[in-house]
Amino acid sequence: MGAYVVRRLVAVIPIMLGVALIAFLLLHLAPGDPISLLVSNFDQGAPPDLVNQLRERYGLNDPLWLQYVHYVWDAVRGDLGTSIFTGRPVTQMILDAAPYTAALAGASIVIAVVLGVTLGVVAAVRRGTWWDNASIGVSLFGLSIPQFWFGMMAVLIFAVNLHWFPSSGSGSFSHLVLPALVLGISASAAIARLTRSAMLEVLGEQYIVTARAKGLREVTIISGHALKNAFIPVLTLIGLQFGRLLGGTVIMETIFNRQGLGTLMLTSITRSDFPLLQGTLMVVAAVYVLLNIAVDVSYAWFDPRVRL
Amino acid sequence: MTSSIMAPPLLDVRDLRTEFTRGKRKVLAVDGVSFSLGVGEVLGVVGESGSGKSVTMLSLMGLERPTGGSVRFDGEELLDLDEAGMRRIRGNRIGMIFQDPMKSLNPVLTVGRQLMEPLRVHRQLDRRAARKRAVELLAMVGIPGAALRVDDYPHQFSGGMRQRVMIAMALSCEPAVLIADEPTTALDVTVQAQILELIGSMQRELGMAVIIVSHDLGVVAGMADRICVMYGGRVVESGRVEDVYALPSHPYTRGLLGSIPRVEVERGSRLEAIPGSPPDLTRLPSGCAFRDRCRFATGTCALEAPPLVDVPGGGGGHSAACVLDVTPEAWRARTTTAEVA
Repeated sequence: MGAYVVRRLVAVIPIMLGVALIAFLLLHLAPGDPISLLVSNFDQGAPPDLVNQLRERYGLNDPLWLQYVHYVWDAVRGDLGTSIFTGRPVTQMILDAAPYTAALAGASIVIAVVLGVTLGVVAAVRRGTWWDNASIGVSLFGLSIPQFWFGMMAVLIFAVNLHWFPSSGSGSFSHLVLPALVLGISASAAIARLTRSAMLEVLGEQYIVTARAKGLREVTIISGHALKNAFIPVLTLIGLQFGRLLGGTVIMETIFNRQGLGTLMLTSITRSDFPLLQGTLMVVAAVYVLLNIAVDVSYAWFDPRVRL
Repeated sequence: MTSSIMAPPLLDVRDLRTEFTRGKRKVLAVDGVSFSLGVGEVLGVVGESGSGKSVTMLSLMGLERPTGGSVRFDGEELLDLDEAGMRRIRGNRIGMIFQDPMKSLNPVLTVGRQLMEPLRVHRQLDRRAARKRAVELLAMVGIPGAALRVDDYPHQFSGGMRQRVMIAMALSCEPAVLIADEPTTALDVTVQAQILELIGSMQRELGMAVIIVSHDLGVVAGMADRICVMYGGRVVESGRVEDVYALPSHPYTRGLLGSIPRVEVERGSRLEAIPGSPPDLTRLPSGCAFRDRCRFATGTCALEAPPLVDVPGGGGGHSAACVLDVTPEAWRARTTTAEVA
């Protein structure tokens, strides 16, 4: 198990090098030079000397491969460069924004798993009844409605009309409720559907008959015997949902005007703030990779047949 | 055996019916099955797949919902009990083991945890006591190093060992009846004998009654006091093992016995097989369900399913459900003419 985790963590290194390379190349291929943007407030155009000086300072005159090596070397030491627009260290900006995104993503995944698994189990156990139809209806709703529209409707109804929650900002818990619910409900849909089909399959297994023949209560059978088996495929999906969720936080942060990595990423794109954009991309990619390793490791806990 | 004739039977199943709905069709999987089981008695239930024997067992456990009939167990009508009442019986007074030990144990729970469950539910043992008892049970069914293996998962056991675990689990609350549904079918031949021996020795040790369900007459013959032969959801012949073997009276029973390979037969004689395929419960013929595979079927067989009647000249309690004259003389005459033809 320990060896497995170490092996997986070592494999993160080439992945991150690849992520850095792609981010790096994409940004250099994209039109728009941050320096020309930076000096655009000069009326007759910036003096070429100044432009060159600035390019030198940000290392933009070096050959591409050298810029890449410098970038990676600095990143390893925790320095993701300096934001061109604000002049602040990128690492610091990311550390300031990350807790907001972490809170949103964390709350959303908890809502998604609790809601999705509950709906799925209820639908499977009460198969073919009103309960089944209702929970499948809810999950179909969640799957079909685009997150951005769902988010805007939530703002309109619960913030603007009902005044239950604030419509924008990121300061307090009440700011977290709406975006977390929107993301969580929308991610719970797929989880509910998979839980339902996995539960139906497990409930048809012979060992469930054995459990009944032992005189166990149905509640014990479902929670103690069936769910632990049915959760194994669901776990895979939860790992995949993290990716969707990280994308969803960008949308929610925009709609609810929240601070966070998504907002940071968006503003860095509009401002051609290359170092900041690269930094946030790196961090988001690293989080995604690490979370998926965590999911893979947790298989061993749910399924004793998996030996890591 | 003799004592059970006078005393009321421990388990008395009368006219049990279980119906399924497959789409719009109704399927009678169990069609008026009756048998009884005395204290400490071993009953063999024999039939091909699709004969309704497993569904019968699940029905009397309340794991399938019977549509009619009566199951009296120890003076109590089981079909009148609610779920909570049935839970008190299952795994406690009646234990059950199944065909495929590879699928009968939950793969994500330790065998110890699964063994402890009935003890905790029915005997209200605390964790420590239940665990101690689980180790004793594993040792009792012959699992070496029981104290260490109690925390292992099912996939760490072989098929035979898993069936031993299942037996330990079924016996954990010392039930009055053990239902063994094809307990050896999924096992290697060498392991089969060990498992049957284990069931036999447990039966003698605990003095419990056993219903052993099998498609294999050989399995049943060695263990059972009495046997029931089932076909198409009905009992077609029942009686003491020695009587049924000496004087098989239903054509289906004769077919089953004829299809067992024997060492002592003459060279060149053919192994008889029952023609056709095992019954499909959704498409049973009218009247006697066996008539489309029966060499001796006549027009009357299609009219109605014949009831079980005592076999003339058979031992006490030997009965068969056939319209033919099933006396030994009649069978002798019939088989010789059939061979000539």
